[in-house]
Amino acid sequence: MAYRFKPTAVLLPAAMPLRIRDYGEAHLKTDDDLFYFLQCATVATPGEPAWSDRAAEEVYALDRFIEYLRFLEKNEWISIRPTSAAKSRWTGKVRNAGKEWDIELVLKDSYPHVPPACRIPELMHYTDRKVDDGVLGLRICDMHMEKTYWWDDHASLALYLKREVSYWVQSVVKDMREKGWL
Amino acid sequence: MTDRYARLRLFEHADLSKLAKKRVAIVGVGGLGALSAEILARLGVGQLVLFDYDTVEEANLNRLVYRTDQVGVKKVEAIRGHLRAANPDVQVVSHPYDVTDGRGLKALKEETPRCDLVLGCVDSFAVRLFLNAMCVQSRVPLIDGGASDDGVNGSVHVVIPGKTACYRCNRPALKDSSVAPPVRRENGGACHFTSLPTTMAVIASLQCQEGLKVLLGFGSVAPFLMYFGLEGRLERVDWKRDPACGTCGRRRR
Repeated sequence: MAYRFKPTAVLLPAAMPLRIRDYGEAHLKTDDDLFYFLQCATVATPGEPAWSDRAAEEVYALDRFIEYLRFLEKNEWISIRPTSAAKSRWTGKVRNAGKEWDIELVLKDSYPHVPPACRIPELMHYTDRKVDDGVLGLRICDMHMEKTYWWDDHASLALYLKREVSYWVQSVVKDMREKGWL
Repeated sequence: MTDRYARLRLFEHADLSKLAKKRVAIVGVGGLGALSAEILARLGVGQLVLFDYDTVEEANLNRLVYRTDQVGVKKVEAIRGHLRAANPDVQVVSHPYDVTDGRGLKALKEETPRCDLVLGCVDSFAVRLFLNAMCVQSRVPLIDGGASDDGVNGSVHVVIPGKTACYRCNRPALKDSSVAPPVRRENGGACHFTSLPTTMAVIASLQCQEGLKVLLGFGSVAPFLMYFGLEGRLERVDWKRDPACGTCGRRRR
């Protein structure tokens, strides 16, 4: 007897949010466009009712990003999970050059209208690439984003890790190696 | 009106005494915002609402306003006494908080619609865009000022919601993330840029000059002014609004 495929009963796992926007799919041009799936559909701040949707999308996008790193880049340099009930504070580990450091991200009350604030406490001592932050104290500097500013309300925490944190860590580790600190 | 305004009364293009009824918010009172606050206070603006979570550091002292004995004091508190001494008529409301979070955000949301003008004097592009969106939403004019990384150039952007281009209009890199790749800062890239008090004073003055025009409705407001310090050149750009702008456009997605 032939098997009849029932799509509504199969494909979506329970944790998958319903509204992920295929943002940018129509103009795939560069490697970075591979990350179109790291965009979120819902625009809501942590204090708003729709935040639970947005938070689910953030978790979903992050899981896809980690999968990408694990299976395609073979370099799972980040592991991070929400550690507050509101999913506005995320903590984990960042890895490079055989070392591992704690990382902390805070999604402020105005997120996603502003990018997350990120701190890697141990590396803060070894670089001037940091700025003062009203919530985190010292955080990694994202002033260079002014040159090619890409952040918008749909960008996700995962995209921020890809486009901001990964480059920041690479550049700081490179400096530390050159100075013989690593 | 007291005699301190005698010279201002001679100004022919507008009635500067109307400034006493105006309320202006200044977000960021560092090298730029502190100067703008002093200029507006001396002009007799009735109420100044100041936002800045930062404290005075020794590295700030190369610019004007702050004193050596104020190192460690919150900037908004440090400048309050200075403004009162400059002009006791001005009422200063200070919020020593981060405008993107918690109490600062709440205060900004409450204060913005009550103000006649907002001056953006921040050093972060992300916060600039955030202020732009908030002012466009509240339909309150925003005048953003900034200096270049090398300290000799600067710009002033006037955003009159519904009339002039907003901060997100006409910036191609902001529309599509694929236009320009992210910067890899492998060569240097220190985060503390130089800051010249001379350039800061020029930009703060331009910011306040445009602010006066917006507040009192005289002259021709320059939507975007670029200052080139090395050449001693000032250039006006009449940017058009982008109908598809994600913040102010009518056809935004």
